[in-house]
Amino acid sequence: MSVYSRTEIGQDAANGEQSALPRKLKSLLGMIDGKTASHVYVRNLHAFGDVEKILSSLEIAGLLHHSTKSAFSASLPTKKLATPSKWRKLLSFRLAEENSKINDDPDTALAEPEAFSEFSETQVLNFNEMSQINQDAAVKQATGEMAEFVLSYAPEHAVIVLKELEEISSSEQLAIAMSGYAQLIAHCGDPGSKHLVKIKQLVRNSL
Amino acid sequence: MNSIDNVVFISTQLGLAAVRNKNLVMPLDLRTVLTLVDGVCPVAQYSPFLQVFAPLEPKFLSLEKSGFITRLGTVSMIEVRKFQASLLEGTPPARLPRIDADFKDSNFLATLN
Repeated sequence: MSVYSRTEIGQDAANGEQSALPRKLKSLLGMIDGKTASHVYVRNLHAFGDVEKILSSLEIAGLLHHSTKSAFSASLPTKKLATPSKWRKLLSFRLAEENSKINDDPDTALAEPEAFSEFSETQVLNFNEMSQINQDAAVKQATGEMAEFVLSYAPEHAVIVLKELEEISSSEQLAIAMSGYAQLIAHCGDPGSKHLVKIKQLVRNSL
Repeated sequence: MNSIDNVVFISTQLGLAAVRNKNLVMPLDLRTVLTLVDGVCPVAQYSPFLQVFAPLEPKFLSLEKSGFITRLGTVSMIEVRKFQASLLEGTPPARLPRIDADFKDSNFLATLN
């Protein structure tokens, strides 16, 4: 699977106001997320004309670089997510159970800081770190899927939506963006509803 | 230097309709150039970013002849020369500042950008 990603110069050109890059090329450059396969852009952005040639030109101009990923490595983030979220729930349940035991016992409740540090501090730390990693992964997966969906079903909104999706970095931002996104893809019918259910599930997992 | 390097083109109504019409038979290169015309950048500013489509001049002229684009104005030739000289010196095209329109040369507002 061939994937384009922006170079440092490309990143500056996509965000900079003063760059000589013509603005429609800037829009196209802004859509390159470093994850989506180039054939997806070619298939969905035919309104731009010969997208493959435009991407090659931008690569020659030093704004993009081209890499090849196997389908397996491209699918890794999705596969990694499933297992940790399951045992994250299990761990959070067990952690809550431990905490309630400590709080129920008046003696241990008084000595809570020591008791906590003895056997749960590492767990809490791991849980917090892991929870953050899972949230980030879920947010990335959700925004990635939203980007692909918009490119496939609502390419006319792709320029704006992909830029906004790039700015989403937390689950809270994602949750806020959901209502607007649901309205945006309301006209997509059954695939849109199915996609929305999946995204909502991811948002729930990330919160 | 090409004769239309400092010319700024804009899509006509016919051109906009052609971009929307998926069934219109038009060479893909021409269609791509037509899509990218924004009414702000002079032809010289497209060249470094569309090297695969070179030469651009005949494509712009062909689109103009067919009525898909029209001349909106020109920018200062001095600015175009400066831009091209910087390119020849090896400055990456994306690092170059955009060419601003010269109000004496043209009647359109560069603030469109």
